[in-house]
Amino acid sequence: MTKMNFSIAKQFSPHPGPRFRNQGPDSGEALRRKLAKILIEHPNAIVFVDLDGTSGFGSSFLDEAFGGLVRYEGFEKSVLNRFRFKSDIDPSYIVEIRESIERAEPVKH
Amino acid sequence: MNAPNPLNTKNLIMPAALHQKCICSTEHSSFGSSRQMGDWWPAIPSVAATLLAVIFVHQLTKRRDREKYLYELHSKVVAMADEATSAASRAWSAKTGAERLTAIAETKWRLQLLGAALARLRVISGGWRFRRSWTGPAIVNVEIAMEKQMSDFRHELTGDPFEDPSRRSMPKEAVRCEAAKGAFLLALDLKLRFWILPD
Repeated sequence: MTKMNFSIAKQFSPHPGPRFRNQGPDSGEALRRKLAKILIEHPNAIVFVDLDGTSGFGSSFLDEAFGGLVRYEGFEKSVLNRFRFKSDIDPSYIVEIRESIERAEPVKH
Repeated sequence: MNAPNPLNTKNLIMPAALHQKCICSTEHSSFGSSRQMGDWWPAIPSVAATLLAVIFVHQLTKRRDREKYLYELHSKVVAMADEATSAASRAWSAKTGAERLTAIAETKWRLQLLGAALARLRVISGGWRFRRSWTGPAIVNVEIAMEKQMSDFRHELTGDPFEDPSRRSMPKEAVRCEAAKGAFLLALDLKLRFWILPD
């Protein structure tokens, strides 16, 4: 298992936006696609996600970025095991992300 | 002739012969002898009692300071929850435009500050205490952990369609935000009440 570090503030945006791309810049959907790409390109990697350094996340952003991996990107709920989260400023983000992934159901197209 | 200055340390140097040998009338030769142990042995209980008293008072002071800091932090958390709720209410009520975007950003920022304060509260309140409960006495961790409640609170304030630019003004959501704040503060107070229970 290799380790990959991903800082949302540095490698995505310090100002996370709304849920969908058509709602505004730096959306949860954009982060979801970025994370999906990382997970697919590095199938044996554990991704260390740093949640610190942003101006704050909305609930819908986190749900779309992480729960969306199960809903739209074809990952199973066990995708949670491929992430390690770090959030020293507000640890409640990690609770929210876990819940998003656990309650997400795949959407059939 | 000047008299020797008693403060001059040069005058305090003992002759070599006296320096090596104790000048008292008894014939002990070294510090660890049983005769000398017997001299200061009775002082040990009082020294130990003084040390224990100092440690006890220090612990009490530390605990009082911690409680004081915890109550101050609690007050700040309540104020922060108020501010976050106000910002969210403004964002829900505002029409599309800069005012709404500003209120949305402020809500997210204030919620993050609130989460940081709660993380600090958890660290400060952490510790194991003796508690009597209906199942019997137990040693429990009394830390005030509010991550789940914070997550729910954020979900209530910034859940869909909070950031959807196509939504209309929704002033009724402000009532829901106030209700969420009430539930959040109630959970916080319950945890604080458990923390301040006597041992």
